Amino acid sequence: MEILIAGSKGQAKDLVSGFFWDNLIKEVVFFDDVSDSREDLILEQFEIIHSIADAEARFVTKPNFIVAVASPQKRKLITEKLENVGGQNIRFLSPKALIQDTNKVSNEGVMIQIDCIISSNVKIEKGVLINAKCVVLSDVHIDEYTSIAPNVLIQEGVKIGKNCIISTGVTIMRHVKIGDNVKIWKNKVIDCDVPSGTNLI
Amino acid sequence: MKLLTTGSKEDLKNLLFAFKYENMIRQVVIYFPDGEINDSFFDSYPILQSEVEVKQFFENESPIFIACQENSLKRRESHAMLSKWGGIAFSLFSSQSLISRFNKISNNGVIIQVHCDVSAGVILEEGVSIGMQSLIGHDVQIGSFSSVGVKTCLLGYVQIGENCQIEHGVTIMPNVKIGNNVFISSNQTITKDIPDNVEV
Repeated sequence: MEILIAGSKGQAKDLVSGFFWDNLIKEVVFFDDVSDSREDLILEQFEIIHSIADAEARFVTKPNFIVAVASPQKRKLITEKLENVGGQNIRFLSPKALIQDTNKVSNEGVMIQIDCIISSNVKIEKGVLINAKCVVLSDVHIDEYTSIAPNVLIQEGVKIGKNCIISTGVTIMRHVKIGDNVKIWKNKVIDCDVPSGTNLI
Repeated sequence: MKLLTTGSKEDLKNLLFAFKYENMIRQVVIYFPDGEINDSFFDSYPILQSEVEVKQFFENESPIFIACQENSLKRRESHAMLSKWGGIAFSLFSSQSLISRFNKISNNGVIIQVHCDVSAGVILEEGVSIGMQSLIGHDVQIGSFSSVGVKTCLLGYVQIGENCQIEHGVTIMPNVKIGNNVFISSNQTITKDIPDNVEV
């Protein structure tokens, strides 16, 4: 399988390190049309495509892409841009993560990194990013384009809205509902409902 | 292997997730005494609701059961009840966790979930439940029917009494002794000994 990774910063490098255990992925190319540095190789072995025209030419034969950008809004924009030029957004579920088969995980743009635990009856919508060592217990629902940083614990029955950012070390207690566009900073314990648009520092 | 499980809906889902990685377990039957289950997740599992059905299952099919309630008193209750009806408690040691061979772990109703690290010299008595991604250091002792939550860290020589409830994310420093019936709420670091019947 050949993959184009949109983004060339830390999140993209994290994603590539997760590919190490995946035997299906044979070829990886990066895509970055915003940053100023015009290097030819990233991590000394992967090529970078710098323009959307080159990406469009590549999508004719190898349409798979995945967007590795931490910001939910940017991830949504880049996904739409690359889908317009003929790309196909795929998901990446690390073989080192433990994920129940019967969960409803979207086929579009979901990334679940190594050492995650996703328990039973979890629903994950498109574009959700779950980073390494997260634990998601039963009956959780995570909506579109939410980003979850490493080492987060999400307990039973939690609902998380669209475009949220949850930083590292956060614990979300049972049956808590979190609205859209919420930002939760490091190492917090959330034990009551959070309305949409809140920024918890 | 056929097996009967009992517990609340959420605890059952987490347990059934751990069963995915056990090749021995072929068929799971659920005993759910408190009314209708009302959840499409359990559609594919046979559900027993009365004492008679459970006794028939133990006699005719298999006597093995796991009680998976997170609350330690409820787990002790259903454990005693199902043993009285002729069942034998089974210990689940997940194949996804690293468990040393040099420790004494009861074969009677212990649950060790996925991604745990259990070091050497550990003593776990009957009915102890340990959550996902926990770390149990060397020479730790845990009394019967205590519950340890997700992402907890018990360092060396820690002693925990009976019926304790340790919530997720707790760290207990080395050589700390904790009495019976203690409740420790989430994300704390415990550095001093705790007597019996205390909520922290």
